[in-house]
Amino acid sequence: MTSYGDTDPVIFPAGAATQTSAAEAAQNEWDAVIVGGGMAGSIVAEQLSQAGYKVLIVEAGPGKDLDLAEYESYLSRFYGAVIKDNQSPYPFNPNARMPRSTDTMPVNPGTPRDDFYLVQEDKYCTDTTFTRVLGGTSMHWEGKALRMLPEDFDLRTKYGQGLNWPLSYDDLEPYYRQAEAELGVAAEVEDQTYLGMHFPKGYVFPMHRMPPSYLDQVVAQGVDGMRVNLADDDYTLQVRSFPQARNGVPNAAYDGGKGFVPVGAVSTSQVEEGERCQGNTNCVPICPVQAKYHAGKTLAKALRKGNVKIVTQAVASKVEINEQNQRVTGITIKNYQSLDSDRYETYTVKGTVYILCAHAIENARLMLASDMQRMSRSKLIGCNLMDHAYLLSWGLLPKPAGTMRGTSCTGGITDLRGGRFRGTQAGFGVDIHNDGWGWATGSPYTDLVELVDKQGLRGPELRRTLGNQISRQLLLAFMIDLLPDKSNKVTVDERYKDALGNLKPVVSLKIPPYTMRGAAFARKLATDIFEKLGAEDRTTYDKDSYSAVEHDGQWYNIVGGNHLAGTHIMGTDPANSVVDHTQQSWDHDNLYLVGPGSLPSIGTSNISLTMAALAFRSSTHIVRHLRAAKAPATVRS
Amino acid sequence: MTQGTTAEEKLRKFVKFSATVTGFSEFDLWGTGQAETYYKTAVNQEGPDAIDKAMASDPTAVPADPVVGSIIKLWYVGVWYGLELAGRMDVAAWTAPGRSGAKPAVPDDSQPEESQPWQAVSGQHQAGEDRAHASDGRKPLFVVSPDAYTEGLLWRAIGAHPSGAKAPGYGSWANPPTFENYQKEEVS
Repeated sequence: MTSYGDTDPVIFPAGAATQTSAAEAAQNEWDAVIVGGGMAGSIVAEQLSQAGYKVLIVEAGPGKDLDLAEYESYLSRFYGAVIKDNQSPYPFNPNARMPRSTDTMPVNPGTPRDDFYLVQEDKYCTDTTFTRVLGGTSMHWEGKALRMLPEDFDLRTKYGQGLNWPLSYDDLEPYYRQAEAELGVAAEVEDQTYLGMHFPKGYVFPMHRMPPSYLDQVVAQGVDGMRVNLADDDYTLQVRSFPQARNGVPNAAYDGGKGFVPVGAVSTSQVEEGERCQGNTNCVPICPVQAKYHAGKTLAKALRKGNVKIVTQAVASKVEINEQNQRVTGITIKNYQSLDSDRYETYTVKGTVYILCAHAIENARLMLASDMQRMSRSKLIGCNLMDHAYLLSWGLLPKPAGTMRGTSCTGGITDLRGGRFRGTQAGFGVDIHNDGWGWATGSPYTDLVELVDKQGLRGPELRRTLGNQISRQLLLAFMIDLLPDKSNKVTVDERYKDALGNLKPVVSLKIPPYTMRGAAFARKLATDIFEKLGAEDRTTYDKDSYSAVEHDGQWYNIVGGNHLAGTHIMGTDPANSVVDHTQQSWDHDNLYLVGPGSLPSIGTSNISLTMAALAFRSSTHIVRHLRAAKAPATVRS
Repeated sequence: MTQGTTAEEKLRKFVKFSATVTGFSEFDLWGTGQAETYYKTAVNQEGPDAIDKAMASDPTAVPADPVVGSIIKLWYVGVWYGLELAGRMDVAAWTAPGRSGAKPAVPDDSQPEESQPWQAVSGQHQAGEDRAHASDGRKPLFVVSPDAYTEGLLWRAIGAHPSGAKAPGYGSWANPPTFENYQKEEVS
């Protein structure tokens, strides 16, 4: 085996995904078996590998070949796809299906649709998604890397809402820094010190902030200094840069002056690509040059040390439990032959510890399909499903503002993420979308069809009108807090199975009045901002859509944020939570559930950075666990 | 081929006509590398007579020959929208990058056909997109090729670049937009 030094470029070792087979993996006794090769699984694998442990990752998606050609096939599939939604680059896989927003449609209560992956039984449906390929949803995430606010960790104590965490901001702070290094976050401390967020003296982010877009600058001219009164408190708004896990200009002051070396494109052959964002405006669904962090960058590091092996096309189907001592004895996997065939072989893989890192819905689905709710003391597996509730507002600015350029989003308004008003209504962050009205209306294609087919524009007039209209688009996306609620949940039902006979997730997610009060306020704020900017409000909501929610006699459309969390929340005891503060299962000693499912609340932060910080934190506990388990004379504390 | 116009002459005529209706120069259109493919696509979908008729029509007439709209959209975004999908905003939205949401109601034969020869690799169909095209061989909705997407004229018209390709470079987004020489509107 080739050994790699710290200064070597991070690339996948040749044949990384084929170094072991499912049959071979099942013959071995691993220190740790990890389910899911996404962000959480890759971080834990890399950390355990560094501590010298032998790790097996089982991944449901394909990944036979980790070379640049495979990555570029994603890009080519996106270019050629008629539907360019956030799953469009990734191949349809009947054996490990994923939800697509295009599959979402309203159903009549009591008659769920079974033809798509997420089974939903309510009139309101979520169009949220997650991705089941190697690298997980980090392949299509946008890359916003916000920390949670200190007040998010004790919302119940402070405002009488939601749940407290068994951890504080300060407990997690060192791990946030570790996550910011791993993901390569570009930001300035001076921009991110607000609403109580604090950093150790002298800390700088690995890279300087992404330059704010011209559109951000135009919006800032109207927004900066705007005053808002909410629940008797005054707030002054400003456009602020978002921290992003995207390669920019390294900060020479990082790590006490050692600086930071960004990780570019990873593949089995080194390519000079991805070391700095080029402005492809395509973070979602795929960064063409890998300037955006994806879990492959961590996985490549994990795999090249030789302690970590991966089996792809292996869908975890059952967690095997010894009912006498409640310990996990193995994970049953279905190793399918190809994407075109439902033929598979069944194996059981065994380790000292088991770590489920398959994301909120799949972790819950797997545990429920393994009948683990019966053994759970809290009965909360699958409960408290959360996702940010997105309300979109869009307007036409008076002058061209350069829309459709830059990273998907460089700036927004964060002043209403926290405050005393959270006692009665949800906080929110506001994204200024550099990609225009696309999410809301399907622009710029809809503009084209409108002008060509309906207005009959031709030639120079068509060309000029398109430029003038689209470059003036402003979309504000309000990302609104959704509190944990036991009735929002993932369940399974024997009636709904996928091609391999695995139970499909049945999802029920309702938007409560607390969140809708935030939405109503957000809508009002949007109209104030548009007025201030001289923008024409073009927002319309469709009460017949699957995403329609009524509040105070008004209809709104609340769309999914792909920030799924909460299905195995962490807490202080086995009666109120599924895992403890280390993400160890209360009910099964050698099982860890690492991922956004452990979050007891999501506040107004995109969940990935917090999930990554928790994965680093849990890794230290898992290392301790393994040390104790491998030294039989020592009793585990 | 000695009778009538040669294939090359027909193609030149198509590009000349396309320049008039798109607002881009013949030079720009040839530069996309898509001219021949687009001409073939239009002829295959609507037949040579319909294309000749459209090219002879007054493109500013109301209502215009519907084939003209399909040709313009082809150049602008690389998608063939069949005549029956003209004016369908829901279908347009469905095909745009960055859009999420439920698929619109379209006739069965308008289901996107993604199994182009360049994509004829097993397992690449997306969910719900494996329906056959219409029985007469016409396909009302498809992206002509991955290159057709990145060569779309729309992006140039709006002072941008195709989402996911032809990136303008780090930090370029901080500057005011430029619209080549066609944009008269004042920016700042």
